[in-house]
Amino acid sequence: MKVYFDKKVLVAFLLALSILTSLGIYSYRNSQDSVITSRMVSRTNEVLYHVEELHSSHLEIEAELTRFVLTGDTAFADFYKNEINAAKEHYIVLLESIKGNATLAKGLDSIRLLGMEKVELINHVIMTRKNSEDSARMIVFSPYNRKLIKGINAAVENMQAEETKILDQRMTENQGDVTRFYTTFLTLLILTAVTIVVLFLLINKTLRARLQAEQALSRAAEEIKSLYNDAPCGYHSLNSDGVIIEMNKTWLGWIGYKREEVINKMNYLGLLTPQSQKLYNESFPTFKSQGFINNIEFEVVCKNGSSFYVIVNSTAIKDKNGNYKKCRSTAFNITDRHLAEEKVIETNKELEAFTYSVSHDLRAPLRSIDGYSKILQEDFSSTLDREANRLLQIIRNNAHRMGHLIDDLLDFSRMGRKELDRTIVDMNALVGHVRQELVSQEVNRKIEFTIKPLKEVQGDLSMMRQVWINLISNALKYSRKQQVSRIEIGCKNEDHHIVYYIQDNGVGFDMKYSDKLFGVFQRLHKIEEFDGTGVGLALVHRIVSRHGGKIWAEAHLNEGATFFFFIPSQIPH
Amino acid sequence: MVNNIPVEVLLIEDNNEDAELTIRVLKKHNLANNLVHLQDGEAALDFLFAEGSNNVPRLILLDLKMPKVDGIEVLRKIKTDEQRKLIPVVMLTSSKEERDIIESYKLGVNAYVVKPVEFEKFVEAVAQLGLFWLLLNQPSR
Repeated sequence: MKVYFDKKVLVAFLLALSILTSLGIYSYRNSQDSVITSRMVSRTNEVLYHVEELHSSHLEIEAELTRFVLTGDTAFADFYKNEINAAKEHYIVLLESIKGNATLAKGLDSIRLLGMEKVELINHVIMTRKNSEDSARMIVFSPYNRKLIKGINAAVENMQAEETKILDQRMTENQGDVTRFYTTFLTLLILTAVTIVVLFLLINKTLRARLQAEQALSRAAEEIKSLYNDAPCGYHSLNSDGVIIEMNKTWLGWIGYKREEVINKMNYLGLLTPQSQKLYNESFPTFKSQGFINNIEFEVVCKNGSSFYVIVNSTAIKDKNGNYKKCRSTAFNITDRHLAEEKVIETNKELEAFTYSVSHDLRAPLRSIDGYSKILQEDFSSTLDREANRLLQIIRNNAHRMGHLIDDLLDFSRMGRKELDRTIVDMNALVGHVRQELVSQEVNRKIEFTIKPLKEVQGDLSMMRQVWINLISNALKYSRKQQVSRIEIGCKNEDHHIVYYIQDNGVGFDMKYSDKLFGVFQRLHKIEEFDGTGVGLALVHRIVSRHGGKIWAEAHLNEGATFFFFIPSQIPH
Repeated sequence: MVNNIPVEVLLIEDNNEDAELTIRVLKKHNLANNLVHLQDGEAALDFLFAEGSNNVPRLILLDLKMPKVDGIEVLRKIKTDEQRKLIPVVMLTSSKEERDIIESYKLGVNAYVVKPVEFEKFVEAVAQLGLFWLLLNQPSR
């Protein structure tokens, strides 16, 4: 048997039980004692009775003897014989009863001896009376007879006194036993009562604790139920056939069905559009075998026919043998996100169409402007004066510039749409090549390059190449006016990131414009001073951002600039 | 436009200015003697594939984006035709889009040249490709 009691309760219970048991044993033994006592008392009474009977027989015989002497009635002989027989019986009983008590035995024996003397005397009286009344009377009233009577009376009294004394002794003893019994009994009773009270308190405490625990449990259950039902996401469970066996209120609210219409009645398939049904049929067996599925998107059809999108994550619950039992799934309503994504895709398509047409349609007229201006210069050089040539050149310069702007803008846009193809990029080799390529285009310049060992990076090679092209050409461009251009490239460990840097001794810029540095078409210098479209750094910024990294710059006006960037090894989701 | 002299260069270009500039460059290098300029893909297909046509130019310069039938379609037709697929086709276009470039190469284009905006560079590009395909390159027949 399993015991559910508290340990203390059990101890108190066992204590009460043992006290009660000892109380019982004690009472039993005490009642045994009292039986013995009462048996002794009754024996004493018996002894006293038989002694008394002997005494009264004696007295009656004496009285009848006197009457016989006076009357000579022969009926005395019979009476006397009967009494003697009766006395003999009393004697036999007494002899048995008083065994072991020397005083009483001695008394009884003296009664027997005196009795025998008395019998002889009476026999003598009976004989004598036949002849003479007087002689008989003489014997009866003789001092000898008186002495016998006295002796018997004294013996009887002695026996009575002895027996009474024994009885008293026993009664006193018994009284002591009874007092002790009562004291012990009462003590044990009180102990039992106290134990039971303690037991009661303990049980009460246990029950109260249990009740409180039950209440807490039911509160917690309520809380969990509410958490399940009122969560801001859907919860559901499917059995191995895909029947919905649990579903929370949020979910039911989305689809517009009542609980009783769904639970154990509807298959999950029944909630999906045909396209999602296909996806479900493909993924459910895999899910059951691998035990989980993450971020799977379904389009769900409501009772009223409308539909929405959910993203579902599931964990399979399996039995001891590893067989699929049911699932625990969460569903998030991603309709808003889905619409936004569709919008983004649409916008991207529009943008793509736009950039495509820009790349084609805007470049053609520029080419014509430039081409025809050039033809004018070539074919009509004799008729055009210097000013006309200058003006034509301005037209052509602007056409070129606009061509660059369009190209850069397209590059920038393309960089935003291009898929990242991450590989391990050897920055040392990459920077070496880019530097060589760019420096070869610079003529009549003194350039001191310091390239420290660079750690490799996880990134898109072509994009990383673009980053270094833009940063190094910037450094070259803005340090052009120095007698010796000094450019340093390196990397350092900072906050668990590898931060690459490129430092130049160029014109730098005022840090108050640093927020404009990476904006598209933002320029901090006049076009006459430094050419460029203002897209280069925006492009670098976009590439670094798409890799999940960060780029920033530190500079002072006319004291050079340093650009820093890092690329985390994994894109934070 | 069709004459008895075999066509050397077929220029398919919807932009007349671009065509004029191209022709000017080719002329300067004496490469436009037997040049035919068509303004859209449909005309090009007619020119090449009309019944009884035996027009097999030595070089086709093809623009990509054109009304009616675009350059990709023209290229596909040429490169799937047993007789004409050996004609060198050079895309001469403004588009730098990767998908255009890849699509063209998939269809078997012989070269893909992006028209530079700057006239000097344009001249250089057209002159080089004309010289290469018409003088330097050894044709299949």
